[in-house]
Amino acid sequence: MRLALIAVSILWVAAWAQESSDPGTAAAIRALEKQWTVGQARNDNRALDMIFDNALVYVEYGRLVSKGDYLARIKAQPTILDQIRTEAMTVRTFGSTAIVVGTYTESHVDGGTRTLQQWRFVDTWVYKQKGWVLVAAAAAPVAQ
Amino acid sequence: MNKFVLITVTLGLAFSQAPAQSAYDSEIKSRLIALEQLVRVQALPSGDFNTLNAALADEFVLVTLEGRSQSKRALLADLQSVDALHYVVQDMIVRVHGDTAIVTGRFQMSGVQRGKPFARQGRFVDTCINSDGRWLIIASVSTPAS
Repeated sequence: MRLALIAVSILWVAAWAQESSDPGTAAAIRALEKQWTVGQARNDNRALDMIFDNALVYVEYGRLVSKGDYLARIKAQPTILDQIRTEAMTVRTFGSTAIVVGTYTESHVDGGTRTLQQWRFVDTWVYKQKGWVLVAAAAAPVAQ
Repeated sequence: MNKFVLITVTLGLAFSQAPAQSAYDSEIKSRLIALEQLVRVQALPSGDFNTLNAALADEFVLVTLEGRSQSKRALLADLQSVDALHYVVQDMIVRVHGDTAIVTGRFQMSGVQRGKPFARQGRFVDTCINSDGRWLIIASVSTPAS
């Protein structure tokens, strides 16, 4: 019995480790991250609506905003294609939860001067009936 | 007629399960707020590494206010250099998605690290998962609050 329990534990640990580096899930999440960036740049609220959970927790510039607030802002902003450049990211999966940690650089043009700010983000995705949806996102400015 | 009965029964079942789901979510929210209080208000200031070790998943990752990424091991090592810490959390909100939960809130902390006083405040977003009935924090990000 004890041996059986040990065997089950080993299998469980192996499954967990496999999930943590599941290339299919990681690729799907990376694709969704890209869809988000492209959707935001193109003011494509329909695409963003599909990948954001209705109970999304989003912290933007230190302010907690709802999905509705965020989509309204995206809809109102001018289309800018080079505003956000996503850099390295790692995807870790825990069953039906995926955590993405990475960095992006945001560029702003103010009075003819372009300023760059790098941010490190943590995004949380959960697998639901429709597929993976973003349930939380927040970022901290990387100290220069 | 049969279709009407089926719809009525289905709706009845859906509504009868709603309060049970709500009670479950409410219990989870209370547990997660208690977990955050335990970690941030008690274990961090008192240097209770056993509690921190149990509450943070081994794969835990932290993004600090300065935008640095820290593993669980690096965070626990960093805490060794903290001489004094006072930590306050407020306005916590919990969203439950089955075995995943998001906790966000505001924090204020002040203390002394390597002989230098510091004070910071911001907003945190923590991701927690239910692992065999035990909730673990797997990721945390702190960002300056506006």
